[in-house]
Amino acid sequence: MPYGILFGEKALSRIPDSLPPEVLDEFEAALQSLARDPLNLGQRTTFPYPPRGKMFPFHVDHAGIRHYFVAFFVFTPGERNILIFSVTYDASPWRGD
Amino acid sequence: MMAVSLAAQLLRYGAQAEAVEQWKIDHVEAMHCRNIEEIVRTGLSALADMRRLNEEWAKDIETGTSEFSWEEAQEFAECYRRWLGFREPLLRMIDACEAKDFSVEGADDFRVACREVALMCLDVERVRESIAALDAGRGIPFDQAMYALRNPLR
Repeated sequence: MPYGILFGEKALSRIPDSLPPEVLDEFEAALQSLARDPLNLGQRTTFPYPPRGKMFPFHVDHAGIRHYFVAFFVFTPGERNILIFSVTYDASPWRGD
Repeated sequence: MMAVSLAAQLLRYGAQAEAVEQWKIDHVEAMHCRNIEEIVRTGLSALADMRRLNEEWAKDIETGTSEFSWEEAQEFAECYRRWLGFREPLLRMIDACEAKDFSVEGADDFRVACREVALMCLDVERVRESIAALDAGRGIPFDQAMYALRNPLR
């Protein structure tokens, strides 16, 4: 059973409003995959919150642009939730593999 | 906490990068590209030092040698922000050099490093508030957050 996902109030503020729906679909799917297996997909992070923080980097390629995301999260103590406190974003032109 | 050598490297990197802003991008010559290589080397070296200190800090926290402090996280964030603040003129000048077929040693590593730092979570105060709110049970459910993202009245 997947973990629940909760976001911090401004966790998604770095995601541009202009992202195409196709990118948002894949963004949503990536977070759902994280919720299914956060213990394995969450990577150690040394910043900003090394005591409990994990990170989940992923990217989405669409229309010649590679959209990079990193979801930073912690586990709820004693519950099956992941708490995403920030998602960072960057993009660059992409010509394919 | 901040090593003196790192602070000195950041100062040197900053001074070099600020000088680049005065260069005329339309008049790029081989000499500029060699100078950019040196600045990129300084920048990457400063970043490597920052990461090493950051790794040591995180390890000390993980092993219980020292306690986590938001103030120290803020110091690291400030260093990373300063480092990142110099990227735009340098990336523009690297692009200009490459457009004139002058290769810039370290350019690819520098681009990757810029992206990696840009993807860091540097707003420490917001992270602190966010984690406190989430720990207190004040989180936004996934469906609601995704709806807001798809219907941007944020």
